[in-house]
Amino acid sequence: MMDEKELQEQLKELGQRWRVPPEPPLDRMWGRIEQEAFVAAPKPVWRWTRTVLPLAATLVLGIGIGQVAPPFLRSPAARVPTTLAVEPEPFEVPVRPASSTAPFVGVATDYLARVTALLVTLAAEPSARPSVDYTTTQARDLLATTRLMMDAADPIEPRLRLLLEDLELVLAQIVQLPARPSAPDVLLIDHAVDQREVLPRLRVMLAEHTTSQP
Amino acid sequence: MDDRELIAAVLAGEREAARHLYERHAPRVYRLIYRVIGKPELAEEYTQDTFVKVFRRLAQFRGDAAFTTWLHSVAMSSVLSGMRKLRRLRARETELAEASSVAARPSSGDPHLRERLQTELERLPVRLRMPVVLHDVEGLTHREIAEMLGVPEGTSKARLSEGRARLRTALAGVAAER
Repeated sequence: MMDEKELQEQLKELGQRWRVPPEPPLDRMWGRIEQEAFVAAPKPVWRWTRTVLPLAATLVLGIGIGQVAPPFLRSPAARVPTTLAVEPEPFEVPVRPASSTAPFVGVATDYLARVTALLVTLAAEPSARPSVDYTTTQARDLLATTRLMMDAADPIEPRLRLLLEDLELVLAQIVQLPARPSAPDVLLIDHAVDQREVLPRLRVMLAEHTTSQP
Repeated sequence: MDDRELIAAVLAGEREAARHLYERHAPRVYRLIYRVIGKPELAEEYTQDTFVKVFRRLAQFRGDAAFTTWLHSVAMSSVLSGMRKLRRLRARETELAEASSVAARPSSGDPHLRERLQTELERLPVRLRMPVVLHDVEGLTHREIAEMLGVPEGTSKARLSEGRARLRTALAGVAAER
């Protein structure tokens, strides 16, 4: 069998004539780049308040209704015992229907929660942040999961795909953090997260995935 | 003007600076992408995707690393993302193409080592082909490859080693005949 050194020499030699690129069509390529990067109308600014505020309002309303609703309207699990019973009242555990999407939803929810936690801790005060080693390890793991999710066989919802694409870039930046990051390093990542409104989008997506879990 | 000055000018709204920055780096980006995927129309598309992303996110660039490192990592991300889309869209065509390429594969007694090496290199899965091409053909270091692909250096080394091992195994018959 060919040894390692001989193979490397062959590969190096192959590089001289293998897939020698044609002259790149710089002018033609620039046309689309300029159009999309500088000329195209900016996307409408996504207002997190439009989604988060109604969600928050719904949550508050739900809690309010729960507080004032008569006990018989509440589910058995939600009933608050007023006295200590000698024999615990038996109650039925609701049986959830099996769903083929449950594992994926679970993975997605766990992933969204972990990315959110990582970005939130990164934005925290320096003393409250985990070590850079821990952060970059987490980011590397999450980056791999991001790419696996983007590579999923089933089509992904467009909003989630856009979010994953932004997260891929943010996580790739975190992975490259030096051992002793300077304040601007972290500030620039914060800025990136803010600019793409990553955290509000993550939270909305997390809320939707959590509520859609069977 | 160096890259930093050009970037500052682009961020200040100077379109001409963007064009300069693009002209300085696009040939290398195009070449790298072409080496990995081997199709001029895709190399063109992914080079465009790369620069659109880079200019849209230029404000996020962390100035402590070389601009080329960041640019190349975005380029490889564009390639991977583009190939994922392509794989989904053309899953059936790919299966057919692979089937025909297997049928056309030269016999193990093929004496043309270079041709076989080229064929086998193109048959490697992308995750293994990338480190082999970037390291052994393009001469990049593991550190650079790791930054480009967003993986640890150890992963880059392991994939290169696996890629080389597969090539050596595939070429064993040819080498024995020489």
